[in-house]
Amino acid sequence: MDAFSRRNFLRLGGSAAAVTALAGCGRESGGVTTPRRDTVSILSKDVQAVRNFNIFSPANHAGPSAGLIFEQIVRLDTFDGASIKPWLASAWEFSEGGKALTFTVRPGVRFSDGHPLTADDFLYSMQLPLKHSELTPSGVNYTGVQKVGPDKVMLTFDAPAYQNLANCVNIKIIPKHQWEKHDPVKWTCPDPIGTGPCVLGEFSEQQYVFTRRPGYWSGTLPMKYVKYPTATEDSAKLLMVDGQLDLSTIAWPGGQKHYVDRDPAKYFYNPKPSGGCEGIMFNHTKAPWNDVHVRRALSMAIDRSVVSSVLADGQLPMPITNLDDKIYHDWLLPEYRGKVQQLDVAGARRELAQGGWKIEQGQLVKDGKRYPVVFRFITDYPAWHIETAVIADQWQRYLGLNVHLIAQPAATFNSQVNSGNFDVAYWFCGNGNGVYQSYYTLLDPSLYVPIGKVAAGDPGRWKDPETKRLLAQMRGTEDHATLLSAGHKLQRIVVEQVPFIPVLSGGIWNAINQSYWKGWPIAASSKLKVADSSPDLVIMLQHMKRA
Amino acid sequence: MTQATADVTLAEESAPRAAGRRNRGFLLRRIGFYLIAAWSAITLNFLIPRAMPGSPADSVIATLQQKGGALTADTVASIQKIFGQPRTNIFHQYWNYLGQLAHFNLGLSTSSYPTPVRSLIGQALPWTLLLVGITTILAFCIGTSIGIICGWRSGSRLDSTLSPLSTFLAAVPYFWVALFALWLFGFQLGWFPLAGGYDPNSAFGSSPRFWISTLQYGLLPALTIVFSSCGGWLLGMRNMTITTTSEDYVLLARAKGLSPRRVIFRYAARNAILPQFTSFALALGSILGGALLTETVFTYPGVGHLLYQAVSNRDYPLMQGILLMTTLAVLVANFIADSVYVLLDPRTREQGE
Repeated sequence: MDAFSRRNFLRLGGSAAAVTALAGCGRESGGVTTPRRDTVSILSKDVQAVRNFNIFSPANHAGPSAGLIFEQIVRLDTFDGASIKPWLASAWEFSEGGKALTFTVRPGVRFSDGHPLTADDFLYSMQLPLKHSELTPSGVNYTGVQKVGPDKVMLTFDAPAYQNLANCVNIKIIPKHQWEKHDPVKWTCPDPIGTGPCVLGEFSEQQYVFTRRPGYWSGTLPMKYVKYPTATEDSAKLLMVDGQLDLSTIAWPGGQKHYVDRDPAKYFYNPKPSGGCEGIMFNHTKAPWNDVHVRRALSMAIDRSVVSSVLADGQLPMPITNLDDKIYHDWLLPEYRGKVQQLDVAGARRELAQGGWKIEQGQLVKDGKRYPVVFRFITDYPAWHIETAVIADQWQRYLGLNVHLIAQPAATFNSQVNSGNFDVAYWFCGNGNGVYQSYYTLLDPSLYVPIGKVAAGDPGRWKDPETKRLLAQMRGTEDHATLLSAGHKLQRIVVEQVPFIPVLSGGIWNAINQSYWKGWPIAASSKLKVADSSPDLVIMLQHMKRA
Repeated sequence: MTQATADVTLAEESAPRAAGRRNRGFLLRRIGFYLIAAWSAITLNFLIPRAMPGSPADSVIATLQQKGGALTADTVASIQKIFGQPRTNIFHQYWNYLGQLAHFNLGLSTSSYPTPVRSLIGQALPWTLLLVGITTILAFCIGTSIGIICGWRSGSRLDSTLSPLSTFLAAVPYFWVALFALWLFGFQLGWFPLAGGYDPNSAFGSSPRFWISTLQYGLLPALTIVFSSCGGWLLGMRNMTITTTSEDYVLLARAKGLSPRRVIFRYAARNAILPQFTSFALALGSILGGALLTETVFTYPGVGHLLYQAVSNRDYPLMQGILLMTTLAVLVANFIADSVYVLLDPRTREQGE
């Protein structure tokens, strides 16, 4: 028996060692189908990719075409004041007081199967969301489409829609001749045909590979393959160091220390502000958050540079207007340029006193009533644990407030916040889609719905009539002077009324490994942003060279 | 489940007719039990996702808001329309759900709309079956056989090393073991790939290189699972063996001069393994639930991660599909355990009569 057990033991150990050795040998064998030097490898953060190229699906995991297969009609140029530039549409024009928008189809574009792109494809793609309300990839709220010329298609709106142009980046063109043979509501479009620079090479849930195609309208890509391996963000960091990934658009706390410092010639990580913002949102239907003095005091009692340096992932203190200086420089009121709310404890105390507020036993008190601070955030984002904890600590330290932090899963948080069941919440407070869009979703009182109903925007139920008027004015004009003046007035409202508190900028995440490819748009002066999808990706790839 | 096995009867009776009647009654009772269990599982699968705060529509709306898309009230309404208006009559929803199940239709996933739930599960299931299935069986076999030896020779050098060691292994959190293994063997030593279930650069499913790569990619996750779960089986088996070796019938067997191997396997281990076997059957049933931590650390494709994604996106159809599959698998595993138990333990046969 003794012998038996010992033998058994040895046999097990021996076979385990053999398999290990075998596995070790296999490591260098990767890269036969897509030679590494011909491939740009970009992280897909969707860990379980699904072969679903139905780009009209509003679902969270759909259509990983990355702008390399299906293309959008216009492009958002972030570093040019978030302006709109031509892409598949070569030009556009508003008419009828902003209620009609006519696009011109770019000539000479062909789908990857050789069919030319026509106005009928534009018409068909734009009609689908109208015919099937469930096929709504975004809020492009036109109410009609018609063909108005051999290469012209017109969208019509119920109200002036000058500001809806920015949403048209979400309109992508699919080939009518392929799609009309299927039921677009149930079809997953497993073999996509698009106008983009690539065709789908291979697809598995772990990696999808795009292969470049000749004859792409804006110039063939210099690399044969663009592949997207899937990985969690933590694994992606190892893959970046290992050189299996060239680009990951992930936030990397301590990225300088843990990544760049290993070999600054090879590794790069230095996110630029995206125009987006992470900040604090208030429920304006509830005391004490409906009191401007409380909001101002809370904003003044945050030292944003400390929040930024504790987090150390490259996110910077957000300007007081919620508009990034580099992107919106020409739009900013001169006195607000480069201005960030500094820590001002005396000012915060003064504001509280002006509003008649005291802080007793860690709670806000007025007229004998006490109000605890309940501050919720989404537990899924590791960075938000750090940001909210630092803010809560500062409110405690500088004002003596006890903050009750609640970490919630996204699904729970979203449902509570959009139905107005919250006090104070940490949330995305802006985007790089233009001045109007930076304020619209968060603040437009025309989106107001009563507490308990799911809001499409304005979750804090901000009701200021002046904000409503200014945003409506911006929707109704394309006159630059009027837009500028309305934008200035909105900035003033945001700075003076503090309807929300901008804390840190969002980042254009750009962890890059330059071992295989050079020419990344990472210089401070670069006019292009690092992107893992959209026309910006196409332009970026076109300018890259083998290292 | 063990108490239920007391009813089990494989009657060896002289009057075949009476036995037949008894068997039929028993069979009907068993089938009735499993039908009711299956129905409650199906109903709970329907209710539990809906008891969670939030809805699929909320999650889609929030994602669109985050992308910076300007949403309108119409868009919100149409998203609520496809992804299930949270306020539709729940009985109506239940009726539709039962109707779908009757047609073996698990519906369309809302988080990967319009991909059918069936194909999502089909994509993830083989990986889970392979990884978790093999490791569960391996861990059981290794843990139990070492447990027998440790129990039989309790107090020996082997036992006094392995038993405390396995307590330690069972106490170390799994995610730590997995992360450490990934860091050491994957990143520092470079023996294993860092992420995935197969070499993504090989032709999926058709080339020999693909199949070799599944071994190479699966080995480290598998080793960590076996490493972490072996200890539990070892301890259970060891302790049961110690108890049985002090029984009179083992003493008698030894006194009869039977060979040690015969005493240990036919007398001691056969009795000691019964509780182990019950937990093993349950473990087999829960294989289908996947191993979320393993799948997360090693970015391994599988059902665990799919379920996690379904839960965080409030994807009711997908959650229902996975939970249904898991509960049915546990029921089937129980049924098999109930039946096999009779073969292993003669006493349950006699009690059944």
